[in-house]
Amino acid sequence: MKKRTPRRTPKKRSIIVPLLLTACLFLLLLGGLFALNSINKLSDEIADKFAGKRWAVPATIYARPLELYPGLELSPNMLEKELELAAYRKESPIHSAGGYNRKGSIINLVTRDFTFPSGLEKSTAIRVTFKGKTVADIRTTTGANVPTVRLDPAPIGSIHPLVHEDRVILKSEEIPQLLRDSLISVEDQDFYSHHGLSPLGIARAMLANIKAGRMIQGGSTLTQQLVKNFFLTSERTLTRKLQEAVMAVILETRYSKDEILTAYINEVFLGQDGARAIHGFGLASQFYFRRELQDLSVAQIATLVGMVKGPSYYDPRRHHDNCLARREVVLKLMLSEKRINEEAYTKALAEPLTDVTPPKNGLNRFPAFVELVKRQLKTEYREEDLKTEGLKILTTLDPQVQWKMEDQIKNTMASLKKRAGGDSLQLAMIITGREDGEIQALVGDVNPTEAGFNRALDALRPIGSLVKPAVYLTALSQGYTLATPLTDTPVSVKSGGKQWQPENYDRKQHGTVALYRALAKSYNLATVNLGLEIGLENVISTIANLGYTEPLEPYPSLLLGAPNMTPLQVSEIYQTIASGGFHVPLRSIQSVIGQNGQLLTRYGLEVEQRFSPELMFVLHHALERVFTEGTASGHHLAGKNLYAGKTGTSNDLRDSWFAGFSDTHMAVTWIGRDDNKPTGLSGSSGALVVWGKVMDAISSQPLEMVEPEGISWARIDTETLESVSFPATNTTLLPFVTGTEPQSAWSPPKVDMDIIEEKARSLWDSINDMLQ
Amino acid sequence: MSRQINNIIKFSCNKRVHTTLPILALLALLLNGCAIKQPVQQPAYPTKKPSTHTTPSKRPTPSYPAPQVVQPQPEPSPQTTPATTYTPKTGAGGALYSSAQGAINRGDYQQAEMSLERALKIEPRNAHYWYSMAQVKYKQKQYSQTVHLCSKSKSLAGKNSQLISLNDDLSAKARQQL
Repeated sequence: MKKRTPRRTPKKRSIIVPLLLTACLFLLLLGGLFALNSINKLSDEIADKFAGKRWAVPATIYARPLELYPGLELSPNMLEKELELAAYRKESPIHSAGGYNRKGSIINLVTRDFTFPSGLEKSTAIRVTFKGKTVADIRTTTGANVPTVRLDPAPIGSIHPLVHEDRVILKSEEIPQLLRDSLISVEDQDFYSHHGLSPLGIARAMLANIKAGRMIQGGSTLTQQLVKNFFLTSERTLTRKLQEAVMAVILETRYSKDEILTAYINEVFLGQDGARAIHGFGLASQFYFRRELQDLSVAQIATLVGMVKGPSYYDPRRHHDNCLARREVVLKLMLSEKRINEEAYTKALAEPLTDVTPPKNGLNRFPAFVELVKRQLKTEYREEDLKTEGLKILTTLDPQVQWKMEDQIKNTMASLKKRAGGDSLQLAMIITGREDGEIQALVGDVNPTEAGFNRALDALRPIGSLVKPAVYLTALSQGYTLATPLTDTPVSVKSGGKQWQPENYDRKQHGTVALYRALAKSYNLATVNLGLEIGLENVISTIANLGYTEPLEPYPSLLLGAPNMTPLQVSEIYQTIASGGFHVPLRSIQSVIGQNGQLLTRYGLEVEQRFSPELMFVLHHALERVFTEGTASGHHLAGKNLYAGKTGTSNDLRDSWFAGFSDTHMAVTWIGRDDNKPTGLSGSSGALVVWGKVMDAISSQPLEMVEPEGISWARIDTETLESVSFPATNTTLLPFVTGTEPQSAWSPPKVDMDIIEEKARSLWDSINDMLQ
Repeated sequence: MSRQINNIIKFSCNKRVHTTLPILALLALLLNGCAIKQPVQQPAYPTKKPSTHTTPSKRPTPSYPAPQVVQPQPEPSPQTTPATTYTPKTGAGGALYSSAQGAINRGDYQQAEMSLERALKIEPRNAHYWYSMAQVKYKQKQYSQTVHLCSKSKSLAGKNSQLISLNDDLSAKARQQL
């Protein structure tokens, strides 16, 4: 510094200048303080996002895993349908996990890795051979026999805000090196040398832009792009640009290049699927190619890398040519940067853009079931966690059963609508496993893909005669038998200040009838007389024991099913009946698994005995007679010992119900109208028709009733209800809880088809055992 | 210039020593914090050094792992639970049942439970599977569930008196614990 000029007004200056400068410095310091503050805040924000969970990942809901084993009834077509649902690729030869092909009655497939509650099930290559509509055998590629293979389950729903981001988060080691390399070549060549900002990159971009006369290249580093997507809004202001730069630098100081690149690869936006935004290369790979990222070809990697620049403009499906041209640019760059060799380059150029059709979205395909799952989840998990924690929800939905049910509903309802109710006819149906109470299929609308009012869960309707098994079960538990004579004669009861005079459906009286027949024929008068005899409170406690949890008032009309219940509540009751008196909570969720594969909740099988097997065996027999001689005898397979169940019809034919079970399934069907007007359908002319068609489609073996120890059989005359010794017309053989059989009965030798069948079966078993 | 600054500092030091010093300290800290090269504590997870090698242009042909076959385990008779004479039939249910027996012998009851649930899905009314489930629940000290499962098994056991009495025994044992 040169010698200063002499001071002119030294005294005045010496005060003002320092004061001013002090003020300036003060402001600077203050500004610095603020900057420090905001840098610290930014830094913490960044740390939070990086160190903890970085993304909100919606929970995914899965169907039950398909268990394949020899003997399973499954046609090759239906297996293909299930593989499609799980977004398998049809390809020959199979490239990698998630691929399959079919040659006639043989399906080759490679399952994907999946973490079940029992642990990781590794990807498996198998050959499934069918014989007709049955799996005949399953072999490995080396020819070894496999007893059972569990496929990775199909996703059927997710829990997220209406408009949302979706992604599959990859770990660093899951990312192909070629992807990293080409991404860097294309987006940020100085990535490994800069500190978040790249002056060189900006200069290069500017030069390119000047040359081209327009914006063709951006100078943002991958780090800046990540910061932009991660933390900032899309507004384009200088402040934001500055913020971006500062944050990029912070990010680079705190995290390694590998972490930043991995985050980028998981974050970047790569397309839109309706309201779902496709983020990250992992999900994009599944979405565009039905493959895991590790299985992509060079050309496919180039396609995705090219799409970063403009996922919509370069969409391989909607803008094929743009995408193809962009892929070529990327491939050229890959070659010139020596990321790939000449041979790979030529091969990639010749590859088609994509070899798969868009995955049929299994999400939203089963809205009624998924809603049930969500409701249950919300009672146990915070909504926030469901939307962000990447939970895997394994459910009980069996797409095979659901599809068959939907097909039959569609066919049957078309003809029912013509006969009654017109287009306003509505329906709900629930199917469960007979013994385990797992809800395998559910619809809440006559159009199963409609996601509106879920009648299976929410339609509260009078259940009509569906209540009768509870009345008769109460009687049986008090010592009544199937042969007990009941009086089907008029009855008048005072109820709520009014006289109540129920009538039979056919408006006739039937005099003295056997108990089993009154139930099978659904006689109202006999039931009311019986119910009043055994006590309304006792009937109510039976209904509660069967699994109904709401309080019931002891009105006599209860005996004819005046209470309103939802199809789901009816299912709880009939589940207990179907499983032989064991209450099994109905389940739609098997387990909940955390993002890292850890088991969070398991809903295991639980049973609770509520009624003795003997009582239930006797009740089942009467419910079988509903098909052989009762209100369901119109069903076309009625005589074949396939089903047991009960019709239900409410006043003026407003509700048509059927509830019952086959050897393998329990099902409840309701048909009615939302405006509660009469449908013109009774339980047997409406719900039973649908129920029967569905059950015919999903069950094949006859209904097996295992006879418990304490059962005795006796023959009675169906007219006099007296015990008789020998088979003759107008006689029938009935089961009794031992000790309650007609006293005078000479216990006849059990000459009955049941016995012969039982003998034949045990003979067959022993032959089987010998052969093994 | 420097004299002026000195003056200021002097001035400040003299008059505002209390407020200015901390601010200066902060300024120093800020400058320090802004230094890009300054190493900041790294997060705890492993950081791989990026490699810059070129990728092999040939993709390795994927080799498929062999299927996880549920191997029927040799069945040493469990010491604490009575053995049944039941030999599982071959086939899916039997394989899963055997694998459950293996898990029981290892003391891995949750695994056993899950295998049995799978077996029961294939053969829902196999009384032996239900009995095995009762055994698992007993091991897990869920005695009330044991009793119910024994009843379930019994209700499906038909005329198999041996299985019925096994269920009765286990049920009685469980009841004692209730």
